Formats: sequence, C-alpha cells, structure tokens
Amino acid sequence: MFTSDTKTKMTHSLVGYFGTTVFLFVFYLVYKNFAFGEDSEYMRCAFMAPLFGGLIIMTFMALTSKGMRKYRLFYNLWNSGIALVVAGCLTKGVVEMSGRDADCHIPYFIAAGVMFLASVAVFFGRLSYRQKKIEQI
Amino acid sequence: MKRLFGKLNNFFRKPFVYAVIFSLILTGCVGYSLLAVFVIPSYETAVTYAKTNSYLVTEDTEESETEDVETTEEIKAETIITDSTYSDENITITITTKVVNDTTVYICDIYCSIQYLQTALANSTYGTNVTEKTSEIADSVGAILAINGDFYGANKKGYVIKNGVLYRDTVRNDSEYGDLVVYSDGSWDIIYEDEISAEELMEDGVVQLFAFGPTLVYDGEIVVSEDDEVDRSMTNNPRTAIGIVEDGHYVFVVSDGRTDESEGLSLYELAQVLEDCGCTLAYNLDGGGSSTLVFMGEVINKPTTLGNGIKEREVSDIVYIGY
Repeated sequence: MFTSDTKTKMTHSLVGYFGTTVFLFVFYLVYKNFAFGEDSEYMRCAFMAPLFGGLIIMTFMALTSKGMRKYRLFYNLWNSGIALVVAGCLTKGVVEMSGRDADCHIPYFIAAGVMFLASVAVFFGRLSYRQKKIEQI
Repeated sequence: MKRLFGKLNNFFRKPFVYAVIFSLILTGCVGYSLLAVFVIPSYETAVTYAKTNSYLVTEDTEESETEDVETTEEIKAETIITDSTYSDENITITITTKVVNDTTVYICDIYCSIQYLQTALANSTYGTNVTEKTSEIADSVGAILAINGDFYGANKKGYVIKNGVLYRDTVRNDSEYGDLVVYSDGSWDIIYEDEISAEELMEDGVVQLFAFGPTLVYDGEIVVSEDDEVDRSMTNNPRTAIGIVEDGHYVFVVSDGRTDESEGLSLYELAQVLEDCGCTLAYNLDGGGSSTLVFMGEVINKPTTLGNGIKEREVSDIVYIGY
C-alpha cells in the first residue's frame, strides 16, 4: 500500500510528533517544579497540540500516500498551525505561572486557526485538481 | 516577474527552508510577547483625573497648605519614634514581630484617620511594567509606614483606583477573588468587578481599590478555606495583607518566607493572624518576592524572590501611612 519512501516520511513524522508531545509534557513538569507550585492549564495542555494535530496529519498522510510531495504546502501550513497553538499555550503558561494575567495567547490562536483553515483549503483544492487531472487522462 | 516567482518557489521547495524561516519568525514573536508582558514599560493615561471623591482635596488650597505646614511642624515636635513605634497627634503605629508556623510575621497596628492611609505609584507614573522598590516609593512620598500594594502593573485588566483617581476601568479576568475598596468615609468593603462598574464605585465614594485577593476575613470570620490559594501558588509563601479592626484602627501584616529561617504562611494561616488581631475585614495583597515592610525608611522584613538572597523586588505600587 505504501512505498518505502512514504513509510520513511511517515515514520519521521510520527517520531517528530511523538517526540514533541513528550518534550512539551516533560517541559511542563520541570517548569512547574521551579515555579513555586504555580500552575497553568495552558502549559499543561500544550502537549495536546502536537498529539492531536499529529494524529490528524498522519491520517491525511495515509490518504495522500501516493502523492505526498504534492501536498507539501498543506503539511507546512498544518504544522505551522500546530506550532502557533504550542507557542500560544507556552506564552500564556509562562505568564500565568509568574502570577500575572495577560491575553497574550489570543493572536497565536487566531493565527493558528487561519493556518488550519488555509491548510484544509489547500488540501481540498489540491485534491480536486488531481482528480480533474485523472479524469482528463 | 515570472522568473522571480519561479526562483522564490524553488527556494521555498528546498528542504527545511519554510520550517527554519517560520521558526525564526515565531521565536521572535514569542520573545516580543514575553518582553511586552514582563519588561517593556507602558505608560498609560488615567481614565479620569477627577479627585471629586478624594478626601485629600480641600477647597481652600492655599490656606490649607499653610495650615498643613504649621500643623506638620507642630506634629513633628510631638512625635515619638522608636525602632518599632511611631506616635504623633494623628498617627500611632506599633510593630510587633512574632513567629507563626516557623515564620517571622510583622504585625503593624495603626491608629489614624482614613485620610492618612494612602497609596503611591512607582515613579509616580501609572502604567504596566513601571516598577520601583517599595522603600524607594516610600521615601519619595515621605511614608512613615509602607507595604507593597496589589501590583496592578502586572496585569492589563482590573480596576485601578488610587487616592481617588480612576486609572483603569476594565474588568479583571479573575474577578471572583473580589476587590477591597476603601470609601472616603473610612468604611471598607469587598466588591466584585463583574457586578459593579468602576464609574459606579467612584460615584459611591471609593478612594482606594485593591485588586488581588482573596478576602481573608469578612465580618470577623475567616472566609478562606485551608485549601485556598492565590492562583494555585505554593502553600507557604511570604505574604502581605491589610485589614481593618474598626474605623480608625487598621492592621498591616507582612510575613517572611522561602528562607531557612522562615518557611512562609499559607493563606489560611495568614487569615488566622489577622483574625487574632481582631480584624473585621482583611484582604490578601501581592505576596512572594513582593512582600516588603518599610518603617521610617528602613526595610523591616526579609524580602526574597527565590530564597537565595535578601533583596527587594520592584513593585508597581505601595500602601502607606503618612502625610
């Protein structure tokens, strides 16, 4: 079903998302240890972005296994969205754990939403283009 | 143009180019966000400068200034000051040091009219990340006794009313903690920002507002549970609190913490101290490294942020007793 090149790419992606998920959770535990017991839901949940974002992208990878290269823009935009969610969570988490309060995470979440929507639009646009090409052939 | 677009397209197709560029931009954005929250000062204008409710305003300013100078000189002649007490015609302060739960606690009993309980801003300037040491602010206003305030400058939201001036009227996110308000007639109360507007508070005669919390004692009873904590912070911490026993009798409490000598107090232990002092209403102010007590220009407690050195933290505002 998958070529060896596809399997390699998916394995790399899986390692990347899983590693990022674990890193963010461990980072939260370490940071909390030095924060005089302060806690932040945003920092605690930051690991969920690569976990669930990665699960979704891996599903897309499986669906587009025969032409992954042609969906590079889609992957870049989707991963950018995940990175923006993580950045927003960490920024808000650092602020909350210092005892302050600021809505610094909102621009990141808005930008992430735009990235996710753009990536989905690019994906379906690309999919539609490929189907038309196939029909022409 | 087509060639340029083609070159750009080929450039971004190279492995990791997009990732590197995006990461650099994102890192820069995060860095700026954190600097804006913690470092970059933002000088802002007050919502209103009208001091209509301030007990500090007098109609005949020139005459009263002359009277004030004469009165102040008379008062200075009758002032008695020791290491832990201050007494003049209008103000009496007694500082008691005790150990509670392996923590040094400083209790200041203050007898004075409400007009002598004032607040001051760092560098006499309103804004976020505008900070100064408690002792320096106290020195600039000639405070007899001063403690750190509610660190309004750490947040972008929350009512700010200092000495009858409304500086900010946006509702804080954690309004459930309640704010301590001091009225021009000397009465104190707890309000919730999502239930009343800042303008209404000004109309009602509020001259001071402290937005930190939670409330420790209300109607003479401890209202904080043994599990309550300010923003999920560590149980034992340096603390600062303010309370009223009755009209004209106030209490400032500052505790050490995060050191080998002083473990720190939980909110419940702090509330117990204030209840034992006879407070009918007591409120928690900013603690941790901000907790500072200054008496006659000297820092009395041992302020520390990380527990590895005694050093004052710069704060955005203080509460003080003075003329």
